[in-house]
Amino acid sequence: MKLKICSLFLAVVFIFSLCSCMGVDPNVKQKETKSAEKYQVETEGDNSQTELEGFHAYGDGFTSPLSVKGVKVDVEYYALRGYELSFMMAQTDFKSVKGISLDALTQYVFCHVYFENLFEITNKMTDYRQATLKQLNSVLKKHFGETKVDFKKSQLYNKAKKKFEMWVPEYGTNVYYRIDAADANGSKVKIITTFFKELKKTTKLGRTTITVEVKKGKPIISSLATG
Amino acid sequence: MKKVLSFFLVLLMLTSVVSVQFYAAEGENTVNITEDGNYTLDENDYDAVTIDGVSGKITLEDAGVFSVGRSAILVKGGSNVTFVLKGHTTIEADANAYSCGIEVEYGSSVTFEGEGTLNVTGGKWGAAIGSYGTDTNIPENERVKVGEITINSGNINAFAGRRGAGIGAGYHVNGNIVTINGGVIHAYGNECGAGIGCGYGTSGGAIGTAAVGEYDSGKIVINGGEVYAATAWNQSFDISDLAALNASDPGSFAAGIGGGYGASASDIEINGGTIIAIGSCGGAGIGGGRGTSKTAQYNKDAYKVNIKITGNSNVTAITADNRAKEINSGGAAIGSGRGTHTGGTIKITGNAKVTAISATQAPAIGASKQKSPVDGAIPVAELIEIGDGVELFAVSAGAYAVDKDAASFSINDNYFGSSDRYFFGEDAVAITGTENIKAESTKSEKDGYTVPAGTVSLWANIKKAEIKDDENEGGSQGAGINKGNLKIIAPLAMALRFENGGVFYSGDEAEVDYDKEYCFQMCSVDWSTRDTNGEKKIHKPYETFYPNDTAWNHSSHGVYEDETKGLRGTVVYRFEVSTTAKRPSFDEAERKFIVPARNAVLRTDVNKCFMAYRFKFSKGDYNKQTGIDKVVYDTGKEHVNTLEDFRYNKPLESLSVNLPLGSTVSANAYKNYEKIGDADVFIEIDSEHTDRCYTDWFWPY
Repeated sequence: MKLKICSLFLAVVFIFSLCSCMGVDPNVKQKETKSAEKYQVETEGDNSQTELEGFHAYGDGFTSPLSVKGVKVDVEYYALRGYELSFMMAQTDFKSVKGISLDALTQYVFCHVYFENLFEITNKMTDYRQATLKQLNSVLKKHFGETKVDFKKSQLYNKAKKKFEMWVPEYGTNVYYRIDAADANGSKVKIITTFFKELKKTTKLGRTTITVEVKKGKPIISSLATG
Repeated sequence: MKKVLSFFLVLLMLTSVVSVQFYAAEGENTVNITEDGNYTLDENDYDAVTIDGVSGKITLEDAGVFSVGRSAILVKGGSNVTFVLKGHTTIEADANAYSCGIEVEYGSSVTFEGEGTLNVTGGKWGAAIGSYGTDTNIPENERVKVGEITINSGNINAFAGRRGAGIGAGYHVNGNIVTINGGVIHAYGNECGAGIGCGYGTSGGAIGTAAVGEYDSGKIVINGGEVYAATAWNQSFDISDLAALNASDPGSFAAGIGGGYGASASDIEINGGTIIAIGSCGGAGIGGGRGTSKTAQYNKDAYKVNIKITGNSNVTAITADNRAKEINSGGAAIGSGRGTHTGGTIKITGNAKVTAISATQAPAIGASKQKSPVDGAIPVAELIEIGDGVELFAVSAGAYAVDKDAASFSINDNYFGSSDRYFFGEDAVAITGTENIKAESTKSEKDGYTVPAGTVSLWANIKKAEIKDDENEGGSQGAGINKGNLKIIAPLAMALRFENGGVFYSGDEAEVDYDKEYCFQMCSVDWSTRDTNGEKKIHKPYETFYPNDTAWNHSSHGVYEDETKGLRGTVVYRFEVSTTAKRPSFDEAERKFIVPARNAVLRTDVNKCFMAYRFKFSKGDYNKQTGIDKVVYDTGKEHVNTLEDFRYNKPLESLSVNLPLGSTVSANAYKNYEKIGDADVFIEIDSEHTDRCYTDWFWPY
């Protein structure tokens, strides 16, 4: 009996120790498997990353792509677009592309004509650039599945030269983030990401929820909310 | 030829029915028009023209009218005539006869339109367009009065005769109604006459019997066009120089727009257009004429000044005096003349852009500060109102730029954000003496009018002496020179970053190639900077005018440095220093500045070169502040004193910052100097007010 009690006690201690090592609070009920299939819960992040030279994104959490209607949705890619739109363009909430300021949208699209990731723009890249309406529309369609935006009304359009021009902004920065969840629901994926100010991810910068929708076989940004 | 013939036939027909004027010395080619209809005065020279009781259009096409003993063109008998300007017409009255270039009798009205040019000169005591003189000794029903004058378009150069206004009334005559809706108008008063308004009113007894204030400039309404109005004696006017006063003459004692010497300006309304008005020797730039120091010669109930400036008008008003001895007693740039008891009411509202410069020791806006002839007190304005949408630059050589002692006073807080061109408070007393006013010989002639010998130009761009060295002075003129120095004027706390990475602050000079296009972007500087003494300072609003002051070097403008200090925008601007352009311009479609090489100054302080964001607190707590990363210190109490210094020890309710378009700022809100929130803000043109350079952004607190 003593041995049984002792074994039980050791087992309890072991379980608590294990939980503690894993960073899981045994007093908190974890999400059920059924929920986890749809709403995959992030385990505590790996903080073993080290900073590299230049500007990079340091992310963890649910970074794996999802498959929606047979289309691959790069969760990490869109989490970073959420960062760009929310923190670089200050467009914190929109329900469609029409909810984005025209000037901010033009600038976002213009930058993506030349750069895959805006946060990687170093100071040496902040020179004068030109773009055509066709180039802007191409990026717009890729990101938002939309082409009906009157870019010519933006402050980056030179009416005399009939072209878009811009001094590339100083967007270069490291991005520290954790994708907390990716909620696949029908044709949409809701990606919740927490951004931090430093690599160890203790000081929160903010949290975005970007919704990506698969339309005509391609993922596009549908909406954004920042909390 | 056909026109000549047809007109000659008309002439023959009309002269047979019109009675000979009793005062007119009719010449062989005198025209009398007495029936309604449309007529043309073509390329012939005419001795005189009388239009009596006629409604119709008179086309002036390369005509010349040179009268002797009377007005060149007399419009009378309740006529309502539109002069259509074509080609180049010259009309001159007899300088020795009481007459006008185009005399408009009371009860008649004239309108000018068309694309041609009209040079018109008044005779003795006469306006170029309006009336000649009269006197209060004459029974009232016999005194000369003036009719109504409207200008819709055309290029009109109006040169008054002695004591007359350029456009308006002559000597001792009240103005009626002058309305300008368009066109390019240069109007010059003469010998105590205003550019636009009325002529010599009175000096309070020395000439005439009326007291100061009893004559009035009437109703002057400017809705559009380019209007250059100056009073001067034997004046000439070079657009780029803004004013020209003859150095050897005593000046003109009248307003640029408003009253002549001793006259009121009871109703001036500017709703649009670009206006430059210069008064001198105690006359306001816009407002009343010079008054008197003698109580008995002043009518305190009659002297009035009421000025409204609104809409999108762009107004520059200057009061100047090229006689150093009177620097301490001038009129206001906008307001009253010297020797009066009130500055009247001055309302500047809408989105008006106003530059008011007093090169004397009167305020730029308000009442002249010479003792009142009524009670010996220092006069003040009855009301000064500067609306929220107004962009104001006001500077005085020796007084508050804006007369804060006005009985009723309200002013916007745009000076901090929307313009680097605003002086306010005791620090305005910074320019003293005429040595601070740059003067140089006028080099140009205009439309065949030779500049009188000895003419000097008084530049509106008041600055400390010796800003430019001799080498640079000569470097921006003439053909065959390929490069020169460009002076840069930037908005407050902003800088220009050129394509090659060079950063220029307000007052800097850049060596540029002529007729070559350059690209640049606008940047906000980091306000917190250290001067050479290591003492932390933030520059003050007026500082941009003292770029070479040793006490305030570039660092005191605040510094922009890539990545670390300040922010830069994304919008591309261009400029070109042109050897052919005669005046500066801004092409909005291309966002390109064209700067004449002869006066190579790049002024970036225009709408859409930046936005002044005014960070406001929804709940109106006076003890809240805003900071902006990399621009405005936002790290707490240690910087509060500096900010207080900046705003003259007033608590901050809101903070307005000039920011470049396309940048994103990280702003922080404070309450009692403790951070209570933050937000990212994308800087863009206010889509609902695209002609504004400021945006109100509200914290939810």
